[in-house]
Amino acid sequence: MFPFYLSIIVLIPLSAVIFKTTSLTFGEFLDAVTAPRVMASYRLSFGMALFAGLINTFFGLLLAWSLVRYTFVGKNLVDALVDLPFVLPTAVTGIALAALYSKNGCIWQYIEPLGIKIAFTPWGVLIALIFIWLPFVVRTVQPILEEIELELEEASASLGASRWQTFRRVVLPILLPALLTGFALAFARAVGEHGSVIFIAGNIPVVSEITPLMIITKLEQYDYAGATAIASVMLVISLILLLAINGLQAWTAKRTGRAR
Amino acid sequence: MSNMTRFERSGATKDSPIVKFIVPTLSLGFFGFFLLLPLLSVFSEALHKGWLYYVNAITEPDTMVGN
Repeated sequence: MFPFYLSIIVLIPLSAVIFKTTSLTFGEFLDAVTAPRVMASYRLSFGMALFAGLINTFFGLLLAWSLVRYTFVGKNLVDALVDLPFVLPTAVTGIALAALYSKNGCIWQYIEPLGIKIAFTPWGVLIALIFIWLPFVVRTVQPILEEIELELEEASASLGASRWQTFRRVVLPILLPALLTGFALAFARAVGEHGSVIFIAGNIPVVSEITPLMIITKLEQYDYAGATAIASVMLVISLILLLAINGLQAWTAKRTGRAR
Repeated sequence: MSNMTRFERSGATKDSPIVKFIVPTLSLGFFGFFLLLPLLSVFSEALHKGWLYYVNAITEPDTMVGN
């Protein structure tokens, strides 16, 4: 039953992308997916997704650590609000960020005169991706961190390890697969993120157009084959990245003796 | 003592005071700047024309049908 379900929900739409793309000749396909505007959008989408991923992996780990290991005022509130980007409609996120960072925004109207421009630049894309991405790493790392036995770290300390050595050699290897999973999930979503990014990015051709926007632009021009050509490129890159991250996970599991 | 997590109760697994200051400060600062601030800005933008405007916008016939 499951393979049948999987093929209806996942494989048929995906194969439609490939099928529609094949209505182009190879030359037309190359022209569609390597146009300068489209190339710039790949660099922006994948580059910023990677950048936001690294930032969120670092701060997500710190946030998960704070939530699990320490007590502070408002901890339960922070813990609850972390999930907010999951439930907030992406258009609301987009408007919120645009309201905040635009020239007339409630805070940035004081900061932009200093020369720091966020809205309608590639940095706006980064800010939006950091926002929508925030829960992923926290929520994948947090349960693993909660499961770590106190005795494990006590044993490490009794063998003479400093706190940093314990973190580096005992805790981090346990967390690494979760960190990679959080990164992979979030990366996949960030690359395809549209609704929350377009408002703050300003969609200036070549400068701040993301790849999903290029697809929608083509669709609006009734260029379905061109749109699916770009979609198929995103699909292939995402698949390669997911495979790479899966490989990395298998490698960390093997290296730390946790392979099943 | 009760408001400490089990790791902070044991001397062997306790983080140093510097770490206990830096990690929450950095992570909560990040949380506040990237998550809380946009959230608050939605409400401040929505309400800056006053409550009446806000209530009118969400009870407008088109919006109600959208719900």
